[in-house]
Amino acid sequence: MKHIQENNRILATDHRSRNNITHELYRGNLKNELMIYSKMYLIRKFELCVYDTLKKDDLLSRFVHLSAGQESIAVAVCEALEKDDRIAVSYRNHGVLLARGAECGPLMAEILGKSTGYCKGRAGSMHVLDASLGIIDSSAVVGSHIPVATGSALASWIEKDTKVTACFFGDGSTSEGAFHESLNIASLYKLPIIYICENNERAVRTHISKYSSYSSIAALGTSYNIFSVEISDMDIFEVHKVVLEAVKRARTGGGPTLIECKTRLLLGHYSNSESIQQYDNVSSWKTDDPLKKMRQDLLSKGFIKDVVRIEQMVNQQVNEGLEYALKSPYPSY
Amino acid sequence: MLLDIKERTYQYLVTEAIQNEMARDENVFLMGFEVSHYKPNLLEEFGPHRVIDMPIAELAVTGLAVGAARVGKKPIVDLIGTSFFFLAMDQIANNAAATKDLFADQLTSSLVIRGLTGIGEIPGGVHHCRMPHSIFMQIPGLRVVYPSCAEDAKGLMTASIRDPGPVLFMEHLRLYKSVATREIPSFIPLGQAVTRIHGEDVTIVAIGPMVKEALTAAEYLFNEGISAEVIDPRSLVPMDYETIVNSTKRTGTLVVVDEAHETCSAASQIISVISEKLPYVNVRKLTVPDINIPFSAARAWDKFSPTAPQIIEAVRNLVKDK
Repeated sequence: MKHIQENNRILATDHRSRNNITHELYRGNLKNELMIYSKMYLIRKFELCVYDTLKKDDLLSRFVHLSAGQESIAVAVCEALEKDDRIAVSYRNHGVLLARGAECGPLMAEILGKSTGYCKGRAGSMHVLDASLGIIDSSAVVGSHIPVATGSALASWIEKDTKVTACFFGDGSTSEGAFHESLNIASLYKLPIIYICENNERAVRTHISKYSSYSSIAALGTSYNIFSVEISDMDIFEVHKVVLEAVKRARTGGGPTLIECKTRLLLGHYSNSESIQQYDNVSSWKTDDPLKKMRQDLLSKGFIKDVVRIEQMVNQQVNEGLEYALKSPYPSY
Repeated sequence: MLLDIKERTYQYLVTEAIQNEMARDENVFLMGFEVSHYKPNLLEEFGPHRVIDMPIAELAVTGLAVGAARVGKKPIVDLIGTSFFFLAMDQIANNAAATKDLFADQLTSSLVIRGLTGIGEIPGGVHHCRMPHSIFMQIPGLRVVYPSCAEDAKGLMTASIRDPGPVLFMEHLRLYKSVATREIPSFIPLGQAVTRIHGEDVTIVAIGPMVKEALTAAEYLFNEGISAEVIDPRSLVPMDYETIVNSTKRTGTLVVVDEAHETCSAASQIISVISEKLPYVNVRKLTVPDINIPFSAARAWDKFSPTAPQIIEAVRNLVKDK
């Protein structure tokens, strides 16, 4: 049928021809490495700050889910996207928002439910987004944003605008029907979307071996004829390379990519202490930390001054953000 | 396009509204299972990037519509039947309805979801006899539109597409092939009821296919010396309570006829709102019993759905007590 043939046409020959900006990152390039480190450290510092701030508020911390340990995925993806590409996230969204350019002040304010937050305090941590950063969903219902992200890609397919949508979700989402239905449709129409599964091998407290009949999430993608990759998040440059390929595939009419990225949570499912304590007992990933590894690499190469400078800058940035949020008023309803 | 009068059906006029809006606004597009099969054939006119066939995947299809709407498109989603809306409930309630408020007006949700509703002439069993309009009325952020006749179908679909949304468009099975004989307005604003017949003795609010039953009842009642006022709300959210209140103030008696299960029906809602505003009026609702409707090859739809004789009986009793 005519319309199926049309779906396979090439939209652009070079993913860089849109803005002539290269998104390649080079290992060994000090500027790239320091930039990456500062973005990952920002996320880690911010999340630790949230954890500290909410230590005494168990009720509020129930609605907060930290990204500590998953930083390299958020940074790798956001470094590969253009400003007018789009993103959909789940409730574990702080890392992606910061990597995409959200500011500490309004982000912390939203988490604390203050009127100066990105959503005026009406969304909270789980639903915080800034539409001007191209973020079109932040969902608390597991997997609910996957069809929404696919719809954003459908819009790009209709408009032929070569924009790409990136959809972040955890391994727990892969047991939802919405995941499977979306992948089928995205593959059928070769929609310009990148599905990024942050596989920390947990759905809340349950290990993946206990809730799934499958051991490979990437293999699920191949059953829908989607180009699928399984990688570790330890080397951010590797992750970034895979994402760049996925971006190019999407922009040039090659359709969706499913990236299963193995990662780990350092601070449990929810931000409360009970959850973190429970998590500590089962986690075998504690010693693997891409951020720690990157820091050690930079130090071993003699860049301690740059690292310290970056960390001081970021610490100040995060503290100022916290101050701003603490001083802000609650919304009046 | 000039059509034989036999062809100006409810179904055709809704399609015409969609066709006109797609021609008028390039952001409007159609998606759903077998939407390429519509008559007139919209695929031929608008191409496969605006008439998009989808697999049977109501949850994801609705979610795709939400996502497309969030980036500025205006999708019309055909979910075929309101029974299948239940498969899409997360996307309808948690995403479409919540978009505007949850993200503090950063994003919009201009989509229309259409589906066949109600008890057919041959009741097709539970999965095909859903009347869930009141369920969706209770979800903040949703608009619910329910045309009562072929003449209104076009104007209400047009308004639904142009509305900031999201809109659920209820199309009744027994009205689907009915033919328009009166004037066809091109645009009917949402939230505006219409008084079909003016009267002094009783206010009858009728929803969807019940308007026809109410008008039949009104004719008989008139011959008995009872003048009934029949109001057609046309949209259930936003609901024009003002028109109903003003009428009931005059008549003092309110009957609400709703082809829907009794518990938590739209009829219950209307009765409750009017009773609070006008505590001394006599009220009665006529609804479908709270049972799972069985399949009936004998076409026993009128054993379950309120009909004109029941309305006449109810009004007679109420007016007698006055």
